[in-house]
Amino acid sequence: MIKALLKKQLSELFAMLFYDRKRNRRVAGGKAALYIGLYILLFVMVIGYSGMMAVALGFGGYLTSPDYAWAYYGMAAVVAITLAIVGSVFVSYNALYKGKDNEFLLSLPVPPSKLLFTKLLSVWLSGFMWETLVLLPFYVVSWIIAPTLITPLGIIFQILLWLGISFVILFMIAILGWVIAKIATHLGRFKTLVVVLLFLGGFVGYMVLVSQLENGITTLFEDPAAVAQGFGSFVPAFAFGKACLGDALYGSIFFLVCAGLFALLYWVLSITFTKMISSNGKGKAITSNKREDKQRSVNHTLISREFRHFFSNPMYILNTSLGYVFFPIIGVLAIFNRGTIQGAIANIAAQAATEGTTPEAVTALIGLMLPVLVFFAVMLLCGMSVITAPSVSLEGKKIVVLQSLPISMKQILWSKIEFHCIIALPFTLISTVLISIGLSLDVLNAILVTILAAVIVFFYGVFGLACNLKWPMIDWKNENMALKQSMPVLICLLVGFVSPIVFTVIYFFIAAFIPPFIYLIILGALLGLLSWLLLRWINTKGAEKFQYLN
Amino acid sequence: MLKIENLSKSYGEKKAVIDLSIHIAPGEIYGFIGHNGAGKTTTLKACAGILQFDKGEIFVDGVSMKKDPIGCKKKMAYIPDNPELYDFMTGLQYLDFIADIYGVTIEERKERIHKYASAFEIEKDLPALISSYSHGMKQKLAIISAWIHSPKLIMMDEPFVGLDPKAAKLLKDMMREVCDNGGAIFFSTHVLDVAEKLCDKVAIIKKGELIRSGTMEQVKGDESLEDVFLELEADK
Repeated sequence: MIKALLKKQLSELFAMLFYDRKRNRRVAGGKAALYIGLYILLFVMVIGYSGMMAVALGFGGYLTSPDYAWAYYGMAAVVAITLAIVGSVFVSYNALYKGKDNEFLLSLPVPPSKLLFTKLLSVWLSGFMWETLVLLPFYVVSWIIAPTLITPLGIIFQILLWLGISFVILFMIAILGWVIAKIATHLGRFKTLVVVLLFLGGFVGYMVLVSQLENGITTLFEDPAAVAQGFGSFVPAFAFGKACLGDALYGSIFFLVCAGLFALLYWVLSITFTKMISSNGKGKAITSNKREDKQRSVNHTLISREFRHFFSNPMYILNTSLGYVFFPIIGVLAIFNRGTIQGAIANIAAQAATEGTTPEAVTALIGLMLPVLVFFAVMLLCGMSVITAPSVSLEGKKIVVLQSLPISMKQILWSKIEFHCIIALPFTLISTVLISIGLSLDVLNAILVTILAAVIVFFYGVFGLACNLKWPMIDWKNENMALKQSMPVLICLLVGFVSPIVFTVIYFFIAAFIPPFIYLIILGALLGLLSWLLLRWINTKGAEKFQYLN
Repeated sequence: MLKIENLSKSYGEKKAVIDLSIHIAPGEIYGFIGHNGAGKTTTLKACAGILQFDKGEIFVDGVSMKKDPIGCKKKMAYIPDNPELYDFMTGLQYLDFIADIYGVTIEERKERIHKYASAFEIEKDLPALISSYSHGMKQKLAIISAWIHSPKLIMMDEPFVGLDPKAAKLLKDMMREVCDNGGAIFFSTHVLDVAEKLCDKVAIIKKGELIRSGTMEQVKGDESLEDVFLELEADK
C-alpha cells in the first residue's frame, strides 16, 4: 500500500516532466527529454555555482584557518536551507494542504497516517534534493582543500547533519506552505492586494539585495574574522559548523534539535491532517451587500465589470501593469535627482566640449534630445503595461455571457480600451510630467511629451486588443495560462523594447534634416494613425470575430 | 415568437444542423430532444445569436437575427448548458450587471431578485462571490438572471441539470408563468418525463435533422415519449 502511494506521490512530483496538465495529455518523448535535459542543466548549474562559491570561500580564508572553518559550513547550511525553501515551499503547499486528490485518497481504505507519511516523504525529498545540490559540493570542496581539518567524527556528523538539515527544511517549508494556504483561503477580498504587495515587496527586496551584493561580497572576502564574529552570534550556524568539524557536543545537540523539530511536525500533522485535508479549502466566503442605488449606463456597467475582473486576480495586475510600478518610481527619482541629472548633463557637455564643441552647444543639443528619450522611456514602460492584451482571452468560456447580451460587440471592445486608458493614463501622464520637470524640459517640449504619452497609452490599448483578437486563447483551464502564455502580451513587450531602437536608428539617418521636436510630432502622428487603423479593424472584423469566438 | 427557417450549420465537413425549421408561438413551452451531439446546442446557440449559421433564418418576435441581432437579444434570454458566470462577481453584482445591460429599473430588479432568489432559497447567498457557489446555485443564479428582465422568449440548454427537485418544480412553474403571460420557452432536455409532462410541443432531432415535431399528442400518440424517442432513435 505504502509503495503504491509512494509511487503516486513521486510521479506527481515529477509529473511536469512527463505530463502536460494544460493540454491534459502526456508530454511527447522529445519534449520530455528536453525538460529532463533542462532540469539536469539546472542541477548542474546549481552544483557548479555551489562548488565555485565553496572554492572561493575556502581559498578566501575560511578553510585555510581553523578559526573560521565553522563559518564555511555555517554559510553552506544557510545557503542550502534558503535554496531548499525557495525550491520546495510550493511542493509543500500543493502536496500537504492543497492536494486535489486529498478527498479521493481519504475515501480509500488507507489509514491517514500512511497518507501523511507518503505526502511528507515527497515534500522531504524535494527539500533534500535542493539541499544536497548545495551541501554536497561544499563538503567535497572542504575534503579536498582542507583535509587536515576533516576528522572521522567530523565526516560522521557532516553526513548525519545532512539528514538533520533536511528535517529543518521540512519543518520550515511545512510551516510556510501552511501560511500560504491560510493566505490563499482566509484573506478574502484582500487576497489580491496582499499577493500584489508580496510580489512587489519581493521585487524591491531583490533589487536592494542586488544593489548591496557587491559590498557584501567584498566584506565577505576582505575580513573573514569580522564576518565570522558577526555570523557566530547566529547559534545554529555556529553549532552546525562546529559539528562538521567534529565537535561531538554541538553535533549531538544539533541533530537532536533537528530530530525534535521533525517529531514535532509529524505529531502536529498527524493530529490535524485529516481535518486539514478534508476542509473544502475555500475559507470564509467573500460577501458584499453593496447595491447600486441607481441604474447605470451600459458603458458604465461594462467598465465596472472590467474593473472587478482586473482587481480580482493578482496575476492579471502583475502581468499587465508592471510598468505602472516603474512609472512613479522613475518620476519621483527624476524630481529628487534633478540636481544630479543637471550635473551629469553638464559633465557630458564639458567632456564633449573638449572635443571641439562649446559646453553650451552640447547642453543645448542634449536638451533637444531629452524629449525623445522621454518618449522612448514612455514607449518602453507602456509596452510592459497593456491591460487589453490578454483581456479577450481572459473572457474564457464565459464569453458567451457577453455574446448573448443585447449590446454591440464594438461597445464591449471599446469598454476594454477605455478601462486600459483609465488605469494607464493617470500613472503615465503624472509620471511624464514629473520626468519632464526632473529633466528640466521647456514648457513646449513638456506639453508635447505629455500629449504623446497619452497617444502611446491609447495606441497600446488598441494595439493590445487587436493582437488579442487576432490571437485569442479562450480554452484555458486557469486564467494564468491566458496571462502568462499570451502571445499579445509578449508582442506588446517586444514592441515596447524594439520600437525605441527602431525609432532611434531611423532618427540617426534623418537627424540632419528634422529637429527632434518635429520628429516627435511625426512619431505621434504615426502612432495616432496606426491607432485609428487598428480601431477601425477592431470595430469591424474584430467585433465580428469576438461575437462568434468560442 | 421564435421562427427557425431552414437552418443549416456545419463544422467543417460535419453537418451539425440540416435544414431545420421550427415555429414556436407565444404561450408555448417547446421541448427539444435528441441524443448527445444531435445538434440541439448548435440550434440553441444559433437562436441566441452566439453562433453563425450557414443557411436559413431565425426570427425572434418578427425580428431577424441576421439583420438585427441586438434587437432579437433584447427580447430574449439564453441559459447555456453549463452556467458560465463571472467568478469575480458576487451573485448580486452579477444580477445588477445583467439588469443594467437590459435597462431594468432599480425597483423592478429589487422586486424580481427578491421574488426569485427567495423562491430558490439563495437570497442569503447572493452577497457571496460566485466562485464559492455550487453548480446548482450557479444554475439558479443563471435562471434568475434570465428572468430578471422579463424576456418574451427564454431559451435554455438542459436547464434542469444540477437543480434539486424543489428548484426543478419551481422552474417548471416559472416557465408556465412566462407562457401564461404571452411569452414562450424553448429548451433542450434529456429528461423525457419532464418534457412529456411540461411541454406543449416537442421536436426530436437526430444527426442534425428534425425527425418529428408537433404537439405532444401528435408526437407520441398513445405511447410514452420515451418509447417514441427510442423507436425513432433505432430507426434509420
